[in-house]
Amino acid sequence: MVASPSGERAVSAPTRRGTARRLITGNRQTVAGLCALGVFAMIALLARVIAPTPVNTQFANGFSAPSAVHPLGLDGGGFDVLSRLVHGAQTSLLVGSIAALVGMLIGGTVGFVAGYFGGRTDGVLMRITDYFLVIPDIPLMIVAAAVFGQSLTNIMIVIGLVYWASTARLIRAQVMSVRQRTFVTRVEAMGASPLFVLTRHVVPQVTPLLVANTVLMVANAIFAETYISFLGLGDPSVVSWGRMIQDALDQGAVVAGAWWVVLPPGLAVTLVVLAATIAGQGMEDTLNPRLKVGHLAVRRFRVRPLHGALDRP
Amino acid sequence: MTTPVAAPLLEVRDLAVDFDIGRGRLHAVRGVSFALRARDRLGIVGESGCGKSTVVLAMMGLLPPNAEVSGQVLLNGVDILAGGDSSMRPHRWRDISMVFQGAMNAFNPVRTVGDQIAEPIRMHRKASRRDADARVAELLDMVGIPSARAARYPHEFSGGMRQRAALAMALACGPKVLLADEPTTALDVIVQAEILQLLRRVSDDLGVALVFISHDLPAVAQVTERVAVMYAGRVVEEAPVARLVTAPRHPYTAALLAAIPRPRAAAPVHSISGEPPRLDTPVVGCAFAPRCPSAVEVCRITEPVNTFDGDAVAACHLATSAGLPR
Amino acid sequence: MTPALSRIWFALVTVFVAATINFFLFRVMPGNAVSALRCRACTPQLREALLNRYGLDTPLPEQFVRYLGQLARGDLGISIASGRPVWQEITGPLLNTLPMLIAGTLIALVLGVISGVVSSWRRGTALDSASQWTSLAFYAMPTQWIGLLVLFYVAAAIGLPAAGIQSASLGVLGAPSMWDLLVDRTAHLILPALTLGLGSYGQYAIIMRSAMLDTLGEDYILTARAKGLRDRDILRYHAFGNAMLPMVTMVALSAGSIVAGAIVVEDVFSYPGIGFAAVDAIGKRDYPVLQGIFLLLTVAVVMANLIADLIYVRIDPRIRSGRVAVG
Repeated sequence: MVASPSGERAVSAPTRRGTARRLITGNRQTVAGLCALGVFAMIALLARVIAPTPVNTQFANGFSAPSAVHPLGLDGGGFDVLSRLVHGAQTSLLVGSIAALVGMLIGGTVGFVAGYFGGRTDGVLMRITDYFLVIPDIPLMIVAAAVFGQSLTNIMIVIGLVYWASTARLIRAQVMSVRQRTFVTRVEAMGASPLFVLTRHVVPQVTPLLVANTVLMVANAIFAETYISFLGLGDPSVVSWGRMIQDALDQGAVVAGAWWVVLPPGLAVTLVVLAATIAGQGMEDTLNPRLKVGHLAVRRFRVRPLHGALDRP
Repeated sequence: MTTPVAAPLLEVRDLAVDFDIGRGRLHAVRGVSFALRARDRLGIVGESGCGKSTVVLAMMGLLPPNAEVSGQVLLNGVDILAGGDSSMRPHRWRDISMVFQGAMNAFNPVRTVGDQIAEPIRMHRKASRRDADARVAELLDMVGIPSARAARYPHEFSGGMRQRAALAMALACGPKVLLADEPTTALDVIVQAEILQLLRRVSDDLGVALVFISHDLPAVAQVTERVAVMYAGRVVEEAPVARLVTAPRHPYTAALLAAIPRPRAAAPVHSISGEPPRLDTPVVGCAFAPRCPSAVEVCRITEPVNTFDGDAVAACHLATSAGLPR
Repeated sequence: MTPALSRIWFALVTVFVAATINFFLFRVMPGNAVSALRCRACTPQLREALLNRYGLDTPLPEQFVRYLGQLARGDLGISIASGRPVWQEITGPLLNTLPMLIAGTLIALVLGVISGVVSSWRRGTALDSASQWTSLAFYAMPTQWIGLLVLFYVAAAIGLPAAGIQSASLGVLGAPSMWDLLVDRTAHLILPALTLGLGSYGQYAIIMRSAMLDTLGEDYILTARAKGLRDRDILRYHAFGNAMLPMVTMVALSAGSIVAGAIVVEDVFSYPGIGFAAVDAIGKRDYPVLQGIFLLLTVAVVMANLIADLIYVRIDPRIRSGRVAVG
């Protein structure tokens, strides 16, 4: 069928630096998401500095509405909510990033190996991946977290170990598609070693996608950490947003009408997850622009009057 | 544009289509006009991108939202384009229908072919299921498909059968005008011949006016009586088939004819060097001038106007009634 | 092996893998498994019995075989907290969860489909953006937080019960009728199901919109328009059917996340279903129950995937008739 001319962007040749820059700046969504994430990261890094009051100090015996001294009030245990929120950022972002990295490393490696070597290796690896894809992730994490105890490190590893599967599938597909492209077979025909092909050709084509996927995984990991902490399996010695939500429930914040305890932690998680999701999706869009022609639209073709409408020299 | 003797059934006047492509406008169709009476068969030929598909899509109001259409499409004297989509809709399929390029995908894969042929019948004519099914059987019969196939899904049809089914679907509501956009592309030669014959028969038997779009001049010549040659969004020549083929009056037409490979003659294949112009900038002078072997100075400056010669017209500075300049 | 059989085989192996993970998790816990059970009420005899029961004093391979045998017989072990078979502990809660889960999934589906269809039909307009942002926002919100918000703002306002599964007042004045019981149960499941639906619909909306847009760009949509169909007819008869195909797969794929959502929802609303039992088991470190629930959930998700697979094969005519071109 006739495709309408719609002004496709010219896709530039994939240079290494060019792609990196394009990935980060090429899309308004990505930029917005990354900026927001950056803000949260700053807050997390500077937690101790910007928290208005010490986080472990009990100021009162129960809830206290927001005031000048405690901008977000005190929670049921008498702790400063804003301080806890800011320190919680540290936990959530740290766990999220490292868990995502773990997942990316495992998933990326599996995907690379399976995609590149194909055959039996691919078959076996993909089978294992499929099992992990089907087994429900959060319940598995819950069981694993319950068993391995509640240190932050363990949580990070557990999350990464459960979430690697979808990355593996994605990377494998990309590696396979790159591998089959003519320029790779040409290089191989010239006698290049697998390592050479892998590092010089496959990796640059696959890495951007891996990065985009990792950003999305950060969102999932933070989500997962929130779940785990909420269920009481998180590290009891640190504050996390999931813990704060649990405290809100346990301390009867709802009954007490203490909205300043209920709203902030969930809002924080939502914003960070939103930022990461938007950034990751923006990156994926940059890499795979899909211009869809829709045949139904609110605005139809426009009919103009006959006279003076055409460009004639 | 030549004026036929009887009042035309379909008349396209100065049809122009611009696309808004963000970084500018694409002038895809730059003033196309032609007319048809009942049973007329007009072919429109040209290279890819010359705008021929855009013309027929514009005639049915099926262009995407970034298109701006100007001109008139008169059906029995009434401009069906004037009121936009809502004025066009009642005429679709009932008065003017279309067989699309790549009929492979024109069918919804999860519904039966019979269902989809019956759909416009039931909608436009408010026919009952039984009556519609009877009509579907009739249509399939006309195009040479066993009527039992109506209960099958599109992917169960071969390419040629799907094209014939698409033709049956296009005729479902008894249209007066049928637009066939590259109906034989991507089909093998034997099937092609069958489809072409079918088109001729349909036009003769049902009195349907046919517009046949193709880049394949020989195929067009087999079916139609008049041919319009398009280049860069304009009709550069229009003439009765025999005359066009033997005595073309536009250098582009001549080049097209020369480019048709003749296996028996064992002559080298002539191609036309260069490329059609980009249509995102206004064209200065004749659009074909850069590639025209006979171009002279005036060709690059002034756009040629239509020169009429009996029942033929050509848009070339050098056209004379004796055919191409020597 | 036919495609259907191979899928069933895959499902079985997946459950086997999950069971194996269960087995090893239990065994690799730091310290002796039984001592880690923190069994406060355990007498030495009970500990002996537990050790014996779980065969923790036998070599590992032997333990594994026994474990598989037990599973095959449907024996999920004994709850540490209550001493009763795990099976007994989870059957009741399971029956409580099912209606809530189904209701929640339906709500999510309806919301998602509406959002996706509206978005794609009015593509590029403010409605599209609003719909997309809303579904994205709900997607990003932790389900437990949505529950808290619902408790906070909605429960009191609407007057629906926000905890448990049965009103305390029911049955006080005599045995409640079937109808009263039904109404009461339903009232109790509305808020949890609503929360679950809100938390889960985001992914459906995204997929539905994407599927609709893909479908709307197909040639047969242009044909339908050429035939003179109105937009809403095109949506209904052509676009919707095709777009729903990927949704079937999506429901199966999302089973895992819906289950996770159900767990926290039950915690927030104190709804005595399987999620609540899981949270309870976590608190008491009742590992057998926890692992039993995990296994059960895995089986449920695997079955959901299997059913979705089999349904998809049936409803897509291209796959059903095996792409045979006739003529």
